[in-house]
Amino acid sequence: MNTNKGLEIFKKIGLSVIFPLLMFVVMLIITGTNEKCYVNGKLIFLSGDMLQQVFLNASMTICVALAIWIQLKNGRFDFSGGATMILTAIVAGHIGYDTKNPWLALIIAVVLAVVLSMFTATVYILGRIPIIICTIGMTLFYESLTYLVFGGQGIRVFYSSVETSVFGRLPGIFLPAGLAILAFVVFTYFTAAGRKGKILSNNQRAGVNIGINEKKNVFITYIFSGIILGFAAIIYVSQHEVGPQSGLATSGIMFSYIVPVFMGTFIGLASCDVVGIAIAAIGMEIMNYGLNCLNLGAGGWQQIILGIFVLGFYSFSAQTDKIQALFARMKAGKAKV
Amino acid sequence: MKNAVKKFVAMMLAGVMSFSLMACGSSGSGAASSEGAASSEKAGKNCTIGVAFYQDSGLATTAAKAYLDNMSDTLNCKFKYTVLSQTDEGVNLTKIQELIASGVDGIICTMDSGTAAIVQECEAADVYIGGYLCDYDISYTQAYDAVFKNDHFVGTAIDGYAPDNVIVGKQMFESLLEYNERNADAPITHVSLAIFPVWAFPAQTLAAQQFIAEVDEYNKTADVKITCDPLNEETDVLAFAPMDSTYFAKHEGIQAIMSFAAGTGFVYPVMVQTGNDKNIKLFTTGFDGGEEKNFGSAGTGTYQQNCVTAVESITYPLVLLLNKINGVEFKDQPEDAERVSCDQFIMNSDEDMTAFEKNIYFTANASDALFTPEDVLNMTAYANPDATYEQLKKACSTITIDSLK
Repeated sequence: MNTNKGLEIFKKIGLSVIFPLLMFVVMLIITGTNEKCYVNGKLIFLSGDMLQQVFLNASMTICVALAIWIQLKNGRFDFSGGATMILTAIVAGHIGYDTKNPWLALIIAVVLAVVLSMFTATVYILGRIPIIICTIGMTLFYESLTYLVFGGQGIRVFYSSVETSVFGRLPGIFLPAGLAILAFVVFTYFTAAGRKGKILSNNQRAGVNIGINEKKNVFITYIFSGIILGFAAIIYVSQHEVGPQSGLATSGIMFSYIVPVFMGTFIGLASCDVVGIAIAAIGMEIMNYGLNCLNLGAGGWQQIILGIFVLGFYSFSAQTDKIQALFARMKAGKAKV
Repeated sequence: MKNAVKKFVAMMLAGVMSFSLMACGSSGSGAASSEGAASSEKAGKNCTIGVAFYQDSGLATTAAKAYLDNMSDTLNCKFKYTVLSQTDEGVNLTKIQELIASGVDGIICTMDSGTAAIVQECEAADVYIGGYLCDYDISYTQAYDAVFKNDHFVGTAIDGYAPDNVIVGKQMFESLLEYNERNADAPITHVSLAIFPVWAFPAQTLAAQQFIAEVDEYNKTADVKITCDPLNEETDVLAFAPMDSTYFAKHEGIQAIMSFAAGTGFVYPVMVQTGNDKNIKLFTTGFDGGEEKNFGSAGTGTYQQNCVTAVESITYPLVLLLNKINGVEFKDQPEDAERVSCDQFIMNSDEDMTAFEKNIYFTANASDALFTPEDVLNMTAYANPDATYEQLKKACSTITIDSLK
């Protein structure tokens, strides 16, 4: 029994890490056979910079991907997350820079993101409007505020100051990223709202009919998504200059991190969704670093390669049931023999 | 009823009489009114000028608005602002049409995008148009007759130098030499380059080539030679996205990056993220705000050069537009509209940055501008018949950091 359990855990770990491992090996082969990736005889894909970049970028990706997924798994597609993050980043960045205190910026970011998320939830519940329309409206509202706060100049100096940008660099970045994962785990596995969310996402009407209080679920989900967005905001402002935004540009920023969400839900089948998303983010960042080494890190070719890869991955994952059935048949056939 | 009508008529007559008496009594202020009229004549026609910026925020935009708004009363001119698209010609044409429909008499436009059609629209509406922060190179090389020969296009003040007059490469090399003179014990001897694609900014590629030529020339006689990594099409050309984090691995051992592209937005963030902001210096064009914290000997000392074109150079198209609106021209006005290369504020020392921090570009305070509203008024042909085109051109194109000291 214990051996079976141990084998099961080993299998889960193996299946979870197989994606980034495969990605690493594939990129190693591609870059290793390309002379562009050698500088002074050294393969730059294997430099220490790779690990640093993968962790730095994956931490940000994980936070935003979890913020998207926490709403998606509760049956809501929230466009306002990006605007909440950007507005929060500007305010927290200014206060943090003025006081030269990144810890204060972190606290302000979490508190403000929760407040803004709660406001979005309130408008959604009181307005009784579809979530997409409500969150697009809130996105436009928050974006307009980015032109009003602090003279509409955004925040440019927070990330470039060594003393304020600790949460955008190693090892400080692991704190907000880790706390975001913790918030997601607490919500999903330790709150009733998190567990009920699955029912609501499958069939909202049926969930309400069997007694789930959707309003309460909305508020609790938004509190946790606000916490995660706050952590995402502090990493974002510690790595980038943040300007005022308009025309749903913030949704573009948020959804640029969506790929690991869908890949993560598939990879997470072997373990759980949060592990899947983290693993998917790391795998994607390894691929991005490899493309950078090949001078394909930006522009049309990067988009084409990424698009084909993601499409292929989704196509493969959509056939999961058939693949499992094939394996089952093969197993049954072997047993008969 | 008749009584009511009589009373009403009587009241009206009394009112008319009172106003007549008031008019007679105020003859003393007649002189003031005529003075006002004369001063308004000097200030020119009451007009409105639309300004189409390429972005809706940032130091240059904020400072330009402050500079223009402060002149509104003196020039008898109101300003309206709009923001153009950086990618969509159709949107830009619509934005200009909106300005025309709102009743502007002139337009200052900061992008060369769909310009031939825009100038045609302006001509049809009898609205004049000028350029600012833009070399109008596409129009200059592909639609010269339609734009530069058009009577309704007054010319443009370039953000730096025209592609046929590039000196940024030489200037960047001089900044590097000045740095090495100041830091003779630890000079920069290994640099790499960063530019935007040639199809968008041909002048940057020319500037980079010019820089490399300067280095080669210098190395012929120098004791301590400078290595400049050759311009790599794949690594050093930034596709309007931040540079790859692998840039530093590909340029192993560099001590400085000479960025002809906007380094603050596209190079510096990656330097910070990869921890290279402490050991590698950045010489770049542009200034977005915040660079001063890590400039020269401040902070991490990453930035060793920034350069921008003075906000006051907008005076060039402004004065030419005001002349046109008031139906006058300079005696020495050239037949075709011109594109005027403008010297820049080049900050490559702490002293330069201190001087720059007192200018309107940095403070957004109109009282910190080099030209007062009265100065600008005196540059126009209608307020000052002795004013010349050459004087205007010189005043707007020769503003350097020394002008601030």
